[in-house]
Amino acid sequence: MLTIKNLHANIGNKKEILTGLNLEIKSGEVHAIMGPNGSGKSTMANILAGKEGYEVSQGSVEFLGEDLLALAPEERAAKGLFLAFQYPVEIPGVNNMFFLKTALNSIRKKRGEPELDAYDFLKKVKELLKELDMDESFLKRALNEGFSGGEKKRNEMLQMLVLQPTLTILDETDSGLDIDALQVVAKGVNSLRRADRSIIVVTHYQRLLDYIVPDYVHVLSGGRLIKSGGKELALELEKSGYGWIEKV
Amino acid sequence: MKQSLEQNLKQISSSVVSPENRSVALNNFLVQGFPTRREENWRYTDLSFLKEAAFTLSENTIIDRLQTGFKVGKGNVHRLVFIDACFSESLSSVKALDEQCTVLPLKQALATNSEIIRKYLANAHQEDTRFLNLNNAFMSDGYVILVPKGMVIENPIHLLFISSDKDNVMSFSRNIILAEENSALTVFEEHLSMDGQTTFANHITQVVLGAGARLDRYKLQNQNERAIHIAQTLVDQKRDSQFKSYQVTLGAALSREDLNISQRDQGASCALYGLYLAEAKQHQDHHTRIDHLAAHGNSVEYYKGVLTGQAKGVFNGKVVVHPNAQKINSQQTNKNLLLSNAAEMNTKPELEIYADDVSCAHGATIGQVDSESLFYLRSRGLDSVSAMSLLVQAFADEIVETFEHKDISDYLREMTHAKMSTHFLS
Ligand SMILES: Nc1ncnc2c1ncn2[C@@H]1O[C@H](COP(=O)(O)OP(=O)(O)O)[C@@H](O)[C@H]1O
Ligand SMILES: [Mg+2]
Repeated sequence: MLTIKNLHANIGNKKEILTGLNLEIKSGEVHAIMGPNGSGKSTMANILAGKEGYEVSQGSVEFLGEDLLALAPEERAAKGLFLAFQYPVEIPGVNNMFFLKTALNSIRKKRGEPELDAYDFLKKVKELLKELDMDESFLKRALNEGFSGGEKKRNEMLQMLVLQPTLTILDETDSGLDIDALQVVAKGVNSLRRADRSIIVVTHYQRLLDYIVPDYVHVLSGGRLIKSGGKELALELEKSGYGWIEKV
Repeated sequence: MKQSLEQNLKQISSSVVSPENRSVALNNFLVQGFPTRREENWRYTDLSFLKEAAFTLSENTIIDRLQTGFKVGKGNVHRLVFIDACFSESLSSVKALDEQCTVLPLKQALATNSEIIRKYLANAHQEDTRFLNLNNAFMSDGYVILVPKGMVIENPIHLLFISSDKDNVMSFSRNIILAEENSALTVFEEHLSMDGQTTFANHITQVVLGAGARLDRYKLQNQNERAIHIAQTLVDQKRDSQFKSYQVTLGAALSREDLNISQRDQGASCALYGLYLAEAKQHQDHHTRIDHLAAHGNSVEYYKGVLTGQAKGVFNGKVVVHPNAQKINSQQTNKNLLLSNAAEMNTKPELEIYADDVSCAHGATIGQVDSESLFYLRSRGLDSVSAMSLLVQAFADEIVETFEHKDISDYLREMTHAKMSTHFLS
């Protein structure tokens, strides 16, 4: 599904942030990427989603057989890529419900699918809100405006469940969540799991991986993956911390 | 221009001002001349082209169709229509208004109430008298609204000004709103063009709000892309009166709005909201001045603008707190979004404070659409045009959301969105 080869990236020609990242993700797999702060996790996620401001100096990314880096962010979304942001932006004046519907219909349109009927859409969204333990009043509010950290993360999950992405990237969705919220988020993510979908869980802590059990765990440090293994690697990291990495 | 103005003066048939007074006013104006960019108040708005221009008054344009789409959901619309500042009887309708209340064209109002109206016409107070003189020389007609003590007019009064389909027509209207003690009303001034011709329009509106009176005034300037629109609105507020102004500027090649408010007695409050959208080579200038002359006054001002193409915008908001005007609360904000490199905005909030116990704040910003927000929306599947349009609309809607009258607000939202989707974001 996703093949990242020797990815090098920098911001405005300054220090290289990704320094030769390789990653292969097959359909149906869940990969966890762990690493200390500043190791390049969000940079990787942002580059995959198509954020401007990064210069890819070397390497390639292939997503479902296409050159991902050549696509506009909205084309990536239409192909089924979704990034749950570490810090979702607040957008005053844009109604949350209207935004959700516009996003879904934009994607459906690009795929040549019919737009969803307003009634069916509302019904679906209300079910999802319940699943995420969110009040219906969230739909009436401006997109993320004045949301607490946890509410923003849940709103990302709501978007994810509405859009049903093929490849989901969660960028520290767990940070700032209490254990109840964590379980709600994990349940939502697990409901997406299917043989034709994949998930990348970027996290700083092992905790989330108790609920979203990964097939593979990778350690990102200094802009590349320095160690990969099964889910037990996460437990190992939890025990020994990231201190050992600097010594590698 | 001088010759053509003198020529025009000879041909006026409108009786609202005597020929002698018109002649005096024109002479006064000719001594003063048009403003130049050397003056601080006109620094960014160049009217020098008017010196070479030759406009003529037009008195008998007839149209058979209202150009507006404005409707009131429930009840009657009271509507006065002016074509080139001349009253159109057939298009106007003032239904079921209390007979104590006057809603009339100036010419008719002078026939019944001439003393009081002449008094107000003569008392128009403005530091800069140039357009006042020009207006005194050439006014054709206008509207007069007199609301007696305690009367509340429920439905809005729609004042529709349409510029002619003839080329190089100039028009001058003079308008008076006099709301006596504790009365209340809503007016909606709409300015349109019949066609794509070059026209020059000047509108002077004098407002006096008696003690406890309330006026909500909406103005939409949606003239064609060659029109020149220059308007002054002079508001006098008595004790505890409330004035709300909602300005929406979409049209004209060049527009200048002067809104001057004098709070003469204690406890007066005003709230001024404005939205301007400029594209291509449009030039939109908004000057406001609030004089706090008495204590316990309030003023809130919030203007927002979106500019694209090679458009130019000017905002100048002056607040003067006079000596002894204590306990004044004044807030002023101007925010601008530039969508192109060539668009230009000059903004200047000004505060002059001569009292010590006051709370005043002002601020202005000029910026671009936030790239993080744009990326967020695109990452969810919106193409860049839709994402941009959603953000620009959200920016503008913050002003539209302050509009309290449902029917007017719906109409103005539709007009602003129409302008944004056709000219801004395609
Ligand atoms: N916009 C930016 N400008 C400059 N440096 C940045 C920017 N974004 C990230 N960095 C730097 O890139 C490195 C990786 O950051 P990031 O990808 O956010 O790490 P992580 O998500 O793993 O904590 C850090 O050293 C960070 O300071
Ligand atoms: Mg990060």
